[in-house]
Amino acid sequence: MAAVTLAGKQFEVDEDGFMLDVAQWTPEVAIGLAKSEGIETLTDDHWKVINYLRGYYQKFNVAPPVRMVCKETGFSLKRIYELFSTGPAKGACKLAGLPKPTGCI
Amino acid sequence: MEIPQLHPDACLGVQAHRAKKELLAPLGLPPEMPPDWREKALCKFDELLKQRRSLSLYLDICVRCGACADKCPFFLGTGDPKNMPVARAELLRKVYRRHFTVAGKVAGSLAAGEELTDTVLQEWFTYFYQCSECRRCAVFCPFGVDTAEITMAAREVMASIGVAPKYVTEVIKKAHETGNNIGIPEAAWIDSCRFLEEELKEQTGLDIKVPVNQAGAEVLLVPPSADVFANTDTMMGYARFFHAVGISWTTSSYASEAANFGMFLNYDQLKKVNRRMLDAAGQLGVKRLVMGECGHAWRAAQAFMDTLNGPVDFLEPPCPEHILELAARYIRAGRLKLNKSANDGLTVTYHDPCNLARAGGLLEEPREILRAVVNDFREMPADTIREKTFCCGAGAGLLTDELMPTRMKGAKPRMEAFRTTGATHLAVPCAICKAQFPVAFKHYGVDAQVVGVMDLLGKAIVL
Amino acid sequence: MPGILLAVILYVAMAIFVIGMGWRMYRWIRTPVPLKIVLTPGPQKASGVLGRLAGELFGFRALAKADRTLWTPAWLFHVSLVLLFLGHLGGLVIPHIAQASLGLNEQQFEHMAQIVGSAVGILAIAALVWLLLRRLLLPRVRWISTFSDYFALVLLLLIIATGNAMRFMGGLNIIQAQRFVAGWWTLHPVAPPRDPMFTVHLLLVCALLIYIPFSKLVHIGGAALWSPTLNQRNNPRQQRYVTTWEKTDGNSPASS
Repeated sequence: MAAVTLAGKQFEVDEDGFMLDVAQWTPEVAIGLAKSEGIETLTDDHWKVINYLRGYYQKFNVAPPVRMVCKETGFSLKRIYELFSTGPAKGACKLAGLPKPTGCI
Repeated sequence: MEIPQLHPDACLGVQAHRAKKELLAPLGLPPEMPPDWREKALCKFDELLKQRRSLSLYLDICVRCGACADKCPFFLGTGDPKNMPVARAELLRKVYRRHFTVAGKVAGSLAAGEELTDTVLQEWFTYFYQCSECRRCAVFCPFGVDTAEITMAAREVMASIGVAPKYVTEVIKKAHETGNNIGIPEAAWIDSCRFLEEELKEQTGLDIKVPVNQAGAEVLLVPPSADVFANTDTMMGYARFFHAVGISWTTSSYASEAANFGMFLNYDQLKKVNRRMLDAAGQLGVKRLVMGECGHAWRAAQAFMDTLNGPVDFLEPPCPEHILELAARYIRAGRLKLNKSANDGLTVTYHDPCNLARAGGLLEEPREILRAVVNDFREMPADTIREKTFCCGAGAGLLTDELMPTRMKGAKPRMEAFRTTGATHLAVPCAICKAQFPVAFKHYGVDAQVVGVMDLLGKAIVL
Repeated sequence: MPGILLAVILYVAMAIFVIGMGWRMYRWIRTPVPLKIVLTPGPQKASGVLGRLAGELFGFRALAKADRTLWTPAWLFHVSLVLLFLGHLGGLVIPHIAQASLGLNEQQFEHMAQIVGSAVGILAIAALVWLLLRRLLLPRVRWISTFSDYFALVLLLLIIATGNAMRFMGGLNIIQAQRFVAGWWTLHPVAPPRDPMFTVHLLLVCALLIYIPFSKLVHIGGAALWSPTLNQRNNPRQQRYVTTWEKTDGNSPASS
C-alpha cells in the first residue's frame, strides 16, 4: 500500500489514492488530497459536498446515492462535476476520506 | 469499422490492480501465490479441461483461420494483436499444447507449445482482463469457439493461485457482506428507496412505492444496485411501471444486486452469488422473480440459475423474467397507457448489451418498448447491433479506473457506430454500460446522454 | 520401396488415424458441459438445432457472416476435399459398384473420372493457394499463424499436386492402383504400381493421416457438432439444464 504525507502526518491510501482508514480523516487531509484531484483551493461549495458525504457515511457506512447528494446540497450534477471533475463517487468521496465506491458505477 | 495496424504489446502495460490477501482469503482463494504456483495452476487447468468441454474442445479445434480476429472491440480499438480472440486463446492454448497434448510434449515449441512461466502468467493477467467475455467472436467462428469460455477458464486458473483483480474480488466480497456490489447496507438501502419515493411524489404527486423486504409481494425485483446509487431514473422507471400495472412488488435488502461478478472470477463464486436471490425470493414468499437492467446478471440468472441452484420450482414461470420482457408483455396487451411525446426532443438509439443479445436472447423486447415510448428511435448499423453488437468496453470486470486506457479503446467501435445515427440519447439496459458510456462519450467528444430503457418507459407512462 | 512395406506403412498410418481420432472424439464427447452456454438468439427446438448445425457443417454459415474472402476458399477447399475422397472411393476402392450405380460403361466412367477429377484437383489447389496467400499476406493472419498452420497447408498442397501430376502426366496404371487398393483393404496386400509419384503421393497421405489426430486438423471430427454454443437448445427457462458434471467424476468443485 502506498502512503501519503499530508499536514505532517502519514496516511495509508489505496492504489487510487483513497484513504484506507476513514477515522484518520481531518479537514487538513481533504486540503492535502485536493491537489491530486486538480483542485487549487477548497471553497465553501466543496466543503458542503464533503461534509454531506461524511455525515451520510458516518450514519450509513456507505456513500450516498448521487441524486441524494444533489438534492441535499442543492447542487446540480453538473455543478458537482465542476467542483470535482471526477464526480461525486470519485473525487468528492476521496476528499471526504470515504473508501472508493465500486461496483457497476 | 477499419481494421487497425498491428501494434504488438500495445496493451501489455495496462493491468488491473492485484487483489491482496484481505480480498482473496474471504473468497476461499490462496492469500498469496504459493511457491509451487506453477504445479497448482497446471493442476487446476487439468481439472477444468476434464470438467468443461467448452474448454478442451475449443482449445483443440481452433484452426487459426482468423475469422474472429477483426471482430473483437478490444483488438479493433487497440491494434494489439494479442487482443485478437484467436491470439488471446493462444495464450492459454500454447500452455495447453505444451503440457496436455502429445504433439506439444513430443515436439515442444515446434508444435507451438510453451511452458507456463512467470512471463506467461503476466500475459494471462493482462490479456484475460482485456477480454470482456462479450462473445462477439463466437458469432463469427465456424466452430462456435467462445473466447468467453477460454477467458473464464484462464481467470479461474489464475484465481486458484491467488492471482485476481482487486476490483472483481472486492465487489464479490461486498456482495457477500451486504448483498450488493456497492456495499449498501440494509439501512441505507431502505433510506435510499424512501428517498426515491419522495422524489416520485414530487414528480407525480402520487404515492408510488419503492418497496423493500415486502413479504408476500407478487414480484421480487432484483435490480443492479447501481440503479439505487447512480441510475435512479431507471429505479423510478421500475416503480412507475409496477404502479401503473398494479403489480405488487418488492426489492430485497438481502439480495440487492442483480449483477454476479462471480462469473468474472470462478464457478464457485458464480454459484454462491447467484444463491442469494433465490434465498430472498423464498424468504419473502414472492411468486415471481424479475431481473432489472443489468447485462451479465441476465445471463447468470436466465441461463445458469436453474442449473446452479435449482430446481427453482417454487417460482412461477418464466423464471426469471426480465423487466423488459414483462414491460413489453404489458405494452403488447395494451395494458399500459403511454404518451410518447413525453420523450419528444430525444433522438434515441439502442445499444444491445452483449449478455442480453448473445447470451440472453433479449433482442426484440427493448426495441418494442422504445418504439412504443419514443417518437424518434433509430438503429445503429446492422453489423453493430443485435447478436453482432459491440461491447461497451467495460464488461466482465473491466469497469475499473486503472484499466481506463483499454476501456476507452474498447469503446471505440461502439462510439463510431453511435456517431452514424445522430442520436442524442443512447438507451441501454445495463449498469456497466451505463457507467462506461458517459466516460467514453467524453473521451471521444460525443455530445450525448445515456439512459435506461425503463427511464424512457417510466417517463412515457400516463399514471 | 518394396510393395509390401508401403502397404504396411498405410496400415500403420490408418490405425493411428482411426485410433487417434476415436480417442480425441471420445474425450470431447465424454467431457461434460456444466452450463447452458448456447449462443443466442438460438433455436429452442431440437429440429432448430439440427438446422443450425447443418448450416455450419455444410454452409459454413458463421464464416460467411465473418468474411466472404475467407469463406469462399475455405468452403471450396472443403467441398473439393469431399469430392476427392468420394472420387478415390469410387475410382479405386469400389470401382465396379460405382460404375454400375452410375449406369456408365467402363469408358464413360473413365472419361467422367478424368473430367471431374481434373476439375476438382485444380479447384482444390487454387483454394489452398488462396488460403496460403491469405495467411502470408494479411498481417493479422500472418501474426497468428504457427508452423503447423503452414505445415498443414503445404502438406495438403503436395498431396493434391502429386495426385494431379499422376492424372495429368498420365503415367499411372489405374488397374494396378485398383489392385493395390483392393488387396490392401481386404488384408491381402499386393505390390503397388511402379510409379515414384504414386509412392510419394501415398507416403504423404500416410503422413497426413498420422498428423491429423495430433494437430488442429482434428477439427474434421465434426468440431461444430460437439460445440455447446451451437449444439445446445436455447431453453434454459423451459427445461432445467442439469449438468453432467456429477455424473462423470462424482466430484463437483462447486459442492461447497
